[in-house]
Amino acid sequence: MIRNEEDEIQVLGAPLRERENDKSLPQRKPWGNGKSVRFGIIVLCVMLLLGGLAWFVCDREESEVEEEIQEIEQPAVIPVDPLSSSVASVVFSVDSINDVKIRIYALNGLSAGLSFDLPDKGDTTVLLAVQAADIRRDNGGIVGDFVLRGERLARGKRKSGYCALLDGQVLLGVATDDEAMERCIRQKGDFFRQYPLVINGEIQENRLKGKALRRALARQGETLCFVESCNRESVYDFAEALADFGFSEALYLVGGNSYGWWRESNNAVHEFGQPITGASYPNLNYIVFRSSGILSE
Amino acid sequence: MKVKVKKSPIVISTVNELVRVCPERIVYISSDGNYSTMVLHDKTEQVFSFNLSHFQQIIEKQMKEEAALFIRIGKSLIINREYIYKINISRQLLVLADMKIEHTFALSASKEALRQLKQLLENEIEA
Repeated sequence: MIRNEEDEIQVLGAPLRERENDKSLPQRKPWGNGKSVRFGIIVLCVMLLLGGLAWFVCDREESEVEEEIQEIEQPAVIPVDPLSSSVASVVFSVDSINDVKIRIYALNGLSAGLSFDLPDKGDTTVLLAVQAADIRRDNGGIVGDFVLRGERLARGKRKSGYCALLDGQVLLGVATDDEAMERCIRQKGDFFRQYPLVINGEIQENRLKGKALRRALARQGETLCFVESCNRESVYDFAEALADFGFSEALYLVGGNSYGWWRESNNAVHEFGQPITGASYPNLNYIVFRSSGILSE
Repeated sequence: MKVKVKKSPIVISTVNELVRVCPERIVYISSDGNYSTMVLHDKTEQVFSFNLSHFQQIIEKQMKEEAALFIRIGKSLIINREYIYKINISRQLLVLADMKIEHTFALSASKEALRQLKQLLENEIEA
C-alpha cells in the first residue's frame, strides 16, 4: 500500500513508538482492507509472471550492460550549511554534470539586497555582486516587477520567476500573482523577476534561445549558491544540469558578459564579465551579498 | 488532551535574524517547499528559509512534551490544536479560530488527514 504523507497527521513531541501506541491517535490498518490485500496479491503475481518472462527473453549480458549505462553519477553535495555556519564566506568549486561544466559559489552566512550601484571593491563586507534583473536595450527600463526597500520601481510579469529578499534572506519562487511582491513592499524588502529554471527539482520551460554564458541563483537544501556555466550553454542544458546536480530551485540571472565580482576568504577579488558604465544604463541593478545586514542605497 | 502551554517563547535563530514567539501566539505554520511561513494570531506572517521538518525539530527540541500543542497535518502544515474551530471533511476545510482572535483562518487539507484529526480529537474527549 502506497504511503501518502499528505494523509498523515502527527502530534508533535511524542516519540514514534509512543505515537504508534497512543490509543487517541487514529490507527491505520497496516494492510488496508480485504479488497486491497487481494488486489495487492494479484498485482504481485502479475509482476512476478512478467519478471520471469522478461528474464527468459532478455540476454543476461545485455542486461548487465544496460545496468552500467543506467548508473547515474551522484552529484556532490555542497558541504556548507548556511544555517549552522556563522562564518560569512563564499566557497568556490567547479563541477561538471551532463557535460555542462559549472562554477559553484556556495553563499554562507550572507545577507542579500538589491542595489543600483555596483559596490566598491574596497568594501570588505561585500562578498558577491552580480546583475539581477534584466534591463531593456531600447528604453533602459527594468524588465518585470522590481521593488527596492519596499518601493515598487517597475512593473511586469512576463517572467514568472521571482527572487524576494526579506531581511537579507533570499526566497526563490515562481508566481505571476503579487503575493510575494506585496509582502516585500510591506516589509520594506527587495524583489525582482527573472526566468525560473528549476522549481521543486523540475526544469521549467523557457523561451530563451541560443547559447551564452549562463548564471543563476540556486538552492540545494539549505544552501544558497550562485552558479555560472564555464562555457556557452543553452538555457535548457543549463537548467537540466542544475536540476540533475540536485538544486531544487534555480532562478536565472543576467548572463553573457554581464559584470560582477566576488571576494575570496583572503580578500582577493575576482571579476567576471565586462563592466558597463552606469551612465549609459542607469537602471543597471545588482544583487549584493554581504557579511553584515548593512546594504548600500 | 489538555496541553500545558509553555510559558517561555520559542526561539528561532537563523544567520540573519532571531525570532522569539510565545507558542500560543502561533496559529499555524505552512510550508512552500524550502520555505516555512509562521502565521500568528494577529495575522502577522514570518517567512523562514527552511522547510517544515526543520521547524518541527525546533518546536520539539525546545518544547519537549509540550510540543503536543502542535499537530502536523500532511507535508505542508503544522497547526496549533488550541485554535481548531471546525473540521469539514467533505469540503476539505479546516477552520482555525478562537475568541481571542478576531479573524478565522480557513485552511485546506486532505480528507484522510482531516478524518484522522477529527478522530484524534474525538478520542481525546473519551480518554
